[in-house]
Order: sequence, then C-alpha cells, then structure tokens
Amino acid sequence: MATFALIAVGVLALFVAVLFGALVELFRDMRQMRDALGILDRPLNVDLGQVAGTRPSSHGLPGELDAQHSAIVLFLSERCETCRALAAALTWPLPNGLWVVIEARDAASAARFAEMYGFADERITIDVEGAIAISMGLNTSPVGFRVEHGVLTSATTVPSSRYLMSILPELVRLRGAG
Amino acid sequence: MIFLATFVALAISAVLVLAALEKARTPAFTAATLRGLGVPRALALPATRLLTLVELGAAIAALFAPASTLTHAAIVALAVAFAVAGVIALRSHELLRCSCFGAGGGYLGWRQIVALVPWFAGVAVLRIATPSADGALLFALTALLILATRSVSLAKAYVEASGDRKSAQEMLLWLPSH
Repeated sequence: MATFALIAVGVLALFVAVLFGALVELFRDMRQMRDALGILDRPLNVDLGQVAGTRPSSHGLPGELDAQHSAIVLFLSERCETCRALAAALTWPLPNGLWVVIEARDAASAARFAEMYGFADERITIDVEGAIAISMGLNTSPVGFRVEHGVLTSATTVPSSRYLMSILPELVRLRGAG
Repeated sequence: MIFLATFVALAISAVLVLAALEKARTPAFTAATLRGLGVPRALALPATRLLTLVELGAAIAALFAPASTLTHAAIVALAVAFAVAGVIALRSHELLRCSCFGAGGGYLGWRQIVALVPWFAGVAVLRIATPSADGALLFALTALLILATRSVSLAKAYVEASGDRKSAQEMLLWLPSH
C-alpha cells in the first residue's frame, strides 16, 4: 500500500513538474511577444547637441553634480504618466548616484507632486516653469542624463523603473574601504 | 557506502528523468541535434523517442533495480552515447546544440566526454553497494527533487514576467505621447 502511495506521489510530482515547465514556457512566450511589440525597456538615445560636455551647474542643476564622478539626473514632469509611475517606484533615500529634477508649471503643483510621492531628499530639484529643461533644450520626459567626471555625457529616455535601476552607477568599493 | 549508493541512484535517476521529460516535451530540438550528428532525417524523431524511453527506463531501473547489471549497462551505454556525440560534435565544423534537457542548453563537446567520469563512477558505486531505501521511496524523492528544481525555474520566470509587466505598463503610458 505504502509503495503504491509513494509511486502515486512520484507520478503526481512529475505531472506537476511538467505543468510548471509549461508555465515557464508561457512566461517566455509572453516575453517574446512583449519584445516583439517593443515594450520591454526600449530606451531612445537623446542627442545632447551643445549640452554635451557642459557642467550641470551651468544649466541651473545643483553644483554638487559638477563634482560627481558618475551620476544620473532623472527629469520627471508632473504631467507625464510614466514620470508618475517612476516617481511612485522610487525608494527613499534615493539610490546612490541618482538625482531627480521635477519639472512643474508652478511652485504649488511641484509641491503637490512632491507630497503625493513623498519626495524628501536633498538630491531633488524643483524646476519651476521648466527653466532648467529650457536651458538644456529638453522637450521630453522622463529622460536620464548621465554625468561623468562632472560633465553631461549622454542621455536616454527612461521608459521604466527597471531600466532606470539598470543605468544607475554602481558603487564598487575596494576590500576594507568600508 | 550504502548512503552514497542511495545518493548516486537518486542523482542518476533525477538527471535522466529530467532529460527524458524535457525531450518528450520538445522532441524537435533533440531531433535537430541528432540530424546534426549524422542521423538521417527520417530516423531523427524516432531516435529521439527511443532515446527518451531509454533514459526513462534507465532512470526507473536505477531506482527499482540498482544492483542489476542490465541497469548498469543501460547507464553506461547512455553515457558512452553522449560522449560519442560530444566527440562527433568536436570533429564537426559547426556548433551543435546539446538539447540534453530539451530546448536550448549549451553545445555538445568536451562536457559530454568529461561527464563519462561521474557516470562511470556512479555505476561503480552502484556495483559495490546497493541503496538502502525502497525503490518507490526513491522514485517519490526523485520526482519531488525534479519538482523542486522546476519550482525554482518557475519562480524566476514569474519574477521576470512581473518585472516585464510592470515595465510594459510604464512603457505603454509613455508611448502614446511620443
């Protein structure tokens, strides 16, 4: 009796294993379809033009960025839905190397946006009436600007929070460096 | 030694059952590999099914008749066949997918040749000692082991798919305005 029960358990477990395998295949199929539709973290390069190689502070961004070895400046607009999704996905304090600029029509709407998503970090800049964005010639959002050795080097659109996390500079420490 | 024999029987059985299940699910991939190894097109699919059956039979025999010479011969025959496939693949001008566990996987070659050592060692252990546990219990354990590995794959695929879904949602919010 016990032998039959054990064999039944084994057969059932193998059956479930096959079903799990089919589910994994389904997940892979979905990924292929999403990839074919172009909705899997598909960033677009943004041409920096004259902005390339300039100091962030020269456009009104925080002066600390000029001293950053590597950083990402994320521009979010209060009017863009993906920006809201990205804002909702941000963790506090902000991840290392991430600076955020919120473009807003006026100070009141910026304050509402910041309050809605619990923005409270010294690496957040409010860009009232898009003064910084205008200075940089930026007319889309969300966009991430890469700062290397204190100058703006490249920019891409940021289609998802997962993509944002993938482009953040990683801090690599030597052993024993704390 | 008896404990080691039990472990070896479990391991051999788990590997062979997993390989057989995957080949049964996606026989076309193994058939393509066999064609690459020189098996005529008309025989590739029947040969895949035969290989699947032999693997399954050897797996079950390793659990229920671990001391049988026939079991040992079947395992050795499979191991030698895999190694020969590795040798043919190394002499071939093109890379041949292993399809050892169904679709994908690495390429045929040194791995299958080196794998002769653990296969032979496993058979040697089974010749010296016999697993203490009942075959039905070992079968149930093998099936649960396979189910556990499948569960891990499913969990990974699920996490990836959840990230894709979230990313796609954010991306779709962004697309209409650009």
